[in-house]
Amino acid sequence: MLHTKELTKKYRTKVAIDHITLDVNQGDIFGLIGPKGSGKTTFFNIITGISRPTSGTFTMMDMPSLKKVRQHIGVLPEYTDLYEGLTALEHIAYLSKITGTRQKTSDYEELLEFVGLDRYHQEKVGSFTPGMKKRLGMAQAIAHRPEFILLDEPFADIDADSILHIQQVIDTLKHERKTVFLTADRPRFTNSICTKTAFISEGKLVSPHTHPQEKTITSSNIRATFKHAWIDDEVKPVLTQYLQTVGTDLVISDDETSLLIRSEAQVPSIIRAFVKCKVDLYRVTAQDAMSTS
Amino acid sequence: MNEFKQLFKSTKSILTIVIIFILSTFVSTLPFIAAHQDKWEAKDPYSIGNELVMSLFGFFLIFLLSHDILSREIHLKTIRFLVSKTTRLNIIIGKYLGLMLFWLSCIMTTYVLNMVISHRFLFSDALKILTFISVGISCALFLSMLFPTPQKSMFVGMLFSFLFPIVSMISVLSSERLIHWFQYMTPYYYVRLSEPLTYVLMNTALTVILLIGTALLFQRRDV
Repeated sequence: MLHTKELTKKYRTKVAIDHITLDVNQGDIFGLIGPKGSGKTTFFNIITGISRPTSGTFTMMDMPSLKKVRQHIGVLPEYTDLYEGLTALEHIAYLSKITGTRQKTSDYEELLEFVGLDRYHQEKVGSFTPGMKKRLGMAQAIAHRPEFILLDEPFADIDADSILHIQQVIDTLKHERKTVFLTADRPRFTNSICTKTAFISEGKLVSPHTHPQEKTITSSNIRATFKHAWIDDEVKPVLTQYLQTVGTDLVISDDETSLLIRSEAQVPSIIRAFVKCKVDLYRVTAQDAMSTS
Repeated sequence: MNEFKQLFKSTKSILTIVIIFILSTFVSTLPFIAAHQDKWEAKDPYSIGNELVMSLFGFFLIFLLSHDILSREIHLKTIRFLVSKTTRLNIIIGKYLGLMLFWLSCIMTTYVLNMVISHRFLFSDALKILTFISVGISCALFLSMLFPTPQKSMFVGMLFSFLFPIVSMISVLSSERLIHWFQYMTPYYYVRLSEPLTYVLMNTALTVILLIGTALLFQRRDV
């Protein structure tokens, strides 16, 4: 789907991305992970035609130019304002028209329902929260049912509910065998969805072991276990969402939840998540994961 | 079409039509128009009024409404949505056509209002004004791409809309070599030529040159 060869972008004094070669294959959910300023967005902007590389080449869907594949790709750029004077419905319709894939209003309504904005069809985008804007951005990216979806920081600076919605959308795309390329600054939101991951630091691809974020995650060595009241299936996704922001290797059953955390100082925030979800806690235990494994 | 809808749905369209109509009606009643009416290409006093008003204030009105046509989108980064969906040339053409459609509606409405009074609809005069407006729109697109923040494009655009007609007229009237060459780059020179087709063709050529310049600037820019 995407093949980049020695892609490089230099600004006057800085090399933003340095000879990046990577492949994204059909059906992959590919995550490019790296801290802020590592070159993720520069790379994303080049492969989506927003900016141009200094050197190197890339092919998308076996085409050397984006011209012929634009109708088959969906793009959600990072930190992009929306057309605030338009309603959610008008926004989707306008951008679909530009792609040349106009659809029925009912299709757009269905799409807004899919991203959890069904009650906001006629609301002006200017009144939306960052999370709602991101979901609307997500909706416009998939409105024309593209084969390849590219998302820049889909989980950045948004509320837990929006993160959950976007994860569900990506999960659906995964089941539809679509190809997704996304960037994120932490692997915590992408671990459960991505089938392939690459790490970027200071403009270069690095191995997972040398990546600072990955080191932090793998150094989680306390397994916290929570014995609690019966959890309904409706509550589980919300609780999962909260807990994924705190730890890794999360296991939720009907009456017990466990996850890996870095220190005991994180336990109070986990308890707060249970309280928010109105789940009664009976017992909390925290054990060194290394000694128990 | 978004540009056209946004401009046309707002009070801007009504205000533009009212301003042009009132000014042109006022100018058409001035004694010197009647005195020199036979020297004008357009014989109708209302048409002369429209032509004079647009020559003096056309660029100002165009820049007032559209100085940030591209700079706003670049600044807010909404342009990234468009760039990922279509070619940069298509974006320029789309913006140009959207603005042209707005001005076509305004000018045609003004001429229809004039027709109510004068009982004549001067299509060829309206077409001439539209080609002049086309040059103004292309200038707005070019400067909006050259200065990609709304504040800069507003400052430069307003300054340009005041200075361009003045410098153009000086270049046409002056025999000073330093400024005389500039006349070939302005629609004000071609309006003096007796053949209206030359005026329309030269304005079209200026429009195409400016649009190509804008597209080339856009191609080279990371947005």
